[in-house]
Amino acid sequence: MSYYFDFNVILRNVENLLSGLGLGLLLAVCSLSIGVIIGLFAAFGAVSKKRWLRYLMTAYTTVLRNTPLLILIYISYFGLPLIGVTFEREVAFVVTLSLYSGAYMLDVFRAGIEAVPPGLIEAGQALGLRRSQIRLTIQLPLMIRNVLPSLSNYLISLFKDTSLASAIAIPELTYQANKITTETFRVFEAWITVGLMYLATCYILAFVLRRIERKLTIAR
Amino acid sequence: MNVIESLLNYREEIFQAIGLTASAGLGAIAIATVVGIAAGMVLTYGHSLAAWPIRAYVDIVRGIPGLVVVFMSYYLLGFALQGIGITLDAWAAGLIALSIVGIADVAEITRGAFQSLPRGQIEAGKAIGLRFRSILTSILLPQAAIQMIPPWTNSATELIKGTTLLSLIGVTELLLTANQLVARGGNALYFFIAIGILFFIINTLIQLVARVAEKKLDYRTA
Repeated sequence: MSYYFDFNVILRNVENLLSGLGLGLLLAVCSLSIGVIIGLFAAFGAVSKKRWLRYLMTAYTTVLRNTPLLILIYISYFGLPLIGVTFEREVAFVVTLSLYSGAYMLDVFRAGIEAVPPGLIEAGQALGLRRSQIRLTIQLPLMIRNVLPSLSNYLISLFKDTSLASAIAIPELTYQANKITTETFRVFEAWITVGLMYLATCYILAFVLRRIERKLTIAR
Repeated sequence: MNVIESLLNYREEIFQAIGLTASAGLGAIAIATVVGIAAGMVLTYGHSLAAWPIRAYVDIVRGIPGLVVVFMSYYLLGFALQGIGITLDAWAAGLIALSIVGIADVAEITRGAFQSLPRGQIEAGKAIGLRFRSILTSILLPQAAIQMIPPWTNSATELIKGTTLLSLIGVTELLLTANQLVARGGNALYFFIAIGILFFIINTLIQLVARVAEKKLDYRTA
């Protein structure tokens, strides 16, 4: 095989690659913060006493989790303009990934809420706390600690999903790799570099999230 | 052009698309399950010299987006194979990429399930004079299998969903076919929702089968 490596291509594109990574992280942070909020409200909806609300939340998470993210992105970016709802591509992506991650967060948080011992909620009732107070001061803090490990796993896997933004020409990291590929045919250099950049970012994210987990865990 | 009419007009393309999606998805699930379980067992009980490369493989693959693995398989593997005179078509590159991702997931799931079994189970097997192979197949595997089914179902769902990524390397599976129909004047909203529903149905069926299998395999209720 007569292939010689030429990493000069990478050096010439280093700015593009880094800004691509930054854009990916930004998209992830935006979508995930919205996703976590959606997931929190949806999870309390999913354990509520109202049956219609529970069904609605189950429908939300089942539908979104079983549909490919790429199709959801295409629906919001190519489909919705046909009924008069037009987004910028970045906004379309963030809206889609938020709703998609919200569906995963719902399941994570629901499991966490259900793992809070009922005795603690009864204790709160015995003290005369209102339902909103019980949620905010008993269920929420205990649940967050329960779900942290699986939450960080999902956060990392949803960061990886930002690579799909390249499909609607958002210039994040995967898009930059494709651009180098089509402009210079330096396939090995481009994809190995981008693969390593994703790998490093995921490990740094994992490390930071473990740190936060340890901070929030109560020493027993 | 309304959706039903164009679906009928393009039924050949659509059937071919369903075939490519299903073969890539189910093929990757099959490969991931068989190879992944073997890899996971080596991770748990294998010699460290054998376990170490698998550990590295799993950790690397899980830190790279599936879409990037798809492109890597298509460009890097395709280029490397071209050097020795083999042309890798896009579908095969996609199947390989999905399998690579799936194997890493299933290996982790398998390791998790086996490691959660109490050590006493192995000791009990040894005490009644079983060899390790019998302990593995008749004591550990039946218990681990039940625990593995729910996360395995998630992985399988992810792989079926992942087949849409193959549209980006030019495999005319469902999503790319829908794209082409949209380009010929179809309604983007209807088409994408239609195949979205199709994927939803496929995944729900897989989950139903898995739930039945879980009940069947459960020695506590059987």
